[in-house]
Amino acid sequence: MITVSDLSVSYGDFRLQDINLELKQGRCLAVLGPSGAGKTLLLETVMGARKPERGTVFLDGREITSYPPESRKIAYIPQDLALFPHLSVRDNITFGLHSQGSSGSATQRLERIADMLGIKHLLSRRRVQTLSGGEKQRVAMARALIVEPRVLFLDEPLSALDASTTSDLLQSLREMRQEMSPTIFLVSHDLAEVCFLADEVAIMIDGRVAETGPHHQVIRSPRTVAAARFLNLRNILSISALPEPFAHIAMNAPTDCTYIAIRPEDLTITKSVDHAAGTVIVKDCVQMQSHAIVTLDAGGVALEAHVGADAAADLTAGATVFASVPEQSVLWLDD
Amino acid sequence: MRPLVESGHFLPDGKPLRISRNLFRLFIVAGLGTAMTLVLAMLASQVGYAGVSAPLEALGQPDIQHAIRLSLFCATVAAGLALIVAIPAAYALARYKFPGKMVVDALLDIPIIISPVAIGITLLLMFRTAPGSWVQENLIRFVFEVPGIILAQFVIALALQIRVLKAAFEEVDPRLEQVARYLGCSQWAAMRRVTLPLARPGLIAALVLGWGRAIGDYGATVTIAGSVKGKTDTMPISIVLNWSAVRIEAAVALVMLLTLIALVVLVVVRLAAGARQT
Repeated sequence: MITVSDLSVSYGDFRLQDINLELKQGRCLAVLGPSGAGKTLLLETVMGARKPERGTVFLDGREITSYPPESRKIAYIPQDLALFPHLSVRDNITFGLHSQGSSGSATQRLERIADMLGIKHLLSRRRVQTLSGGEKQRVAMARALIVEPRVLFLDEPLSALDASTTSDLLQSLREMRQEMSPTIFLVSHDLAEVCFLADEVAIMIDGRVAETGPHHQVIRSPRTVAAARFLNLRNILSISALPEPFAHIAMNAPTDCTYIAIRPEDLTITKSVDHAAGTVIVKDCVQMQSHAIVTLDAGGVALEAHVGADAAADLTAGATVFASVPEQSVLWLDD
Repeated sequence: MRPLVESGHFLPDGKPLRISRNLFRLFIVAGLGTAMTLVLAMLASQVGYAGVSAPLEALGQPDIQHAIRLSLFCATVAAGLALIVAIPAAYALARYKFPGKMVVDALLDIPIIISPVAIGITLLLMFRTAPGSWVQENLIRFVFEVPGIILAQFVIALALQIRVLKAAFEEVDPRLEQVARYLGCSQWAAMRRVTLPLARPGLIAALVLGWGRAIGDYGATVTIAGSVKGKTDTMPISIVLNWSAVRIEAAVALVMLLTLIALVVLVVVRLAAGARQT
């Protein structure tokens, strides 16, 4: 289990402030955020590469804040994988075993890990430079897992791969999780990666944790405007200036909420008169593969709705339609 | 008759492609040819004057044997010791940011720029200071002694090695060292298992260049260690001594021996480094 308490660290002008996170044994925590949010700086600080100005890091109940990286019994897969170019595939994978003095059981562990990750046929390769992107990824994974780390740190692990290799590897990572149950600290800006791997999510914005919680909850129903914006939720509206069709929603707003978000798929559009709905004007309608994206003007406020391809057929620009949203679908957001 | 420029072979700016290619080839071949011609002409002049057997005959002379032994010993010790200092110094310059780094970097280049005689004089002056005199009297005598040769060659080799190694360490991705640390390596182990193997071509180049500068040095060596026959006469000093005494054949034979030793070392080291392109 890893616990980060009140952690603050600076790098140049950038500062991570008051980070509190908890990752339980065998679980996967994904730190999600836009580029420049401080995710990698947080990762490096927790791994021991940077000294925090304040705060503590506990690993399995022991404070390790001032421990050097090599004393933490962790493993790391960076974004660029950083395989050692002067070593063979076999030596790359067993590198950590020799460092940690476990070379006695190296052959058995190597066989087991290579078998699990489907890279046995690569063990005789002398140059890692000749491996494909996916093969390199699996070798990096084997190198990290063979040392049986207390925590496995992953920094955007699949960002450099093409779509089909990414999907194969995500499946492999899930299978590896089921088989080995490692504790994983994942840093990513990719929602697919997070949905496949994470149990919990922390959204980081501008050096602070904006929101934490179980991944399905945070990703599906964020509670803060910053998290909602990062997750690319559409129709984020200030409660104090809701357009006419949704003005009634403000009456039931919780006291600590200042914004709402409406998912485009929750916005219902109808051409026939609906007294419970408000009138809006269609500005644009773009047909996608499975649905249409409709841009609406609600009293000067732009809204986005997703409707079925058939329903969108007669939505032309300039048409007046009726829009409504079920109140239980509204996301209440704190500024 | 074949046209000078074949139709359709033009560069975007309208210049004929064939002429452009030929000019480029001429430029490359002329450069390499000039450099090679100069070296070969120098070697041929040596052989032409003294004959192919001159180095072998010279090897039989005790004073020349002494000069060779002394040169090989001093240059090897100086270049080896310099490398031990150059590795951490170059690593610090390549990896860390610290106040005054630019000044330190420039200061370390001084021995490369100033004349070897100036280095020798500066070392002599250093041993005239109180700490220098104390070292001379209580630890090791450098002035007009063999350790003085090693010190002069050490200073000359060190500056060059730091420059070469700094470039070599900058080529090694620091992330590889970081990953080694996360996988359980101490800083020492990360350097031994990752940085140094990856900087191997640079290490070999630094050793060879430092050794080459050391064995060929005359100015710094003669200034601090003098030209005491049978004691501090390295090969370059012996060449000048023989030349001054109008023993031209002996001087040329020594020049040929020095050339031969340099050639053998350079080829062997390149083979050992596996630098196939050379």
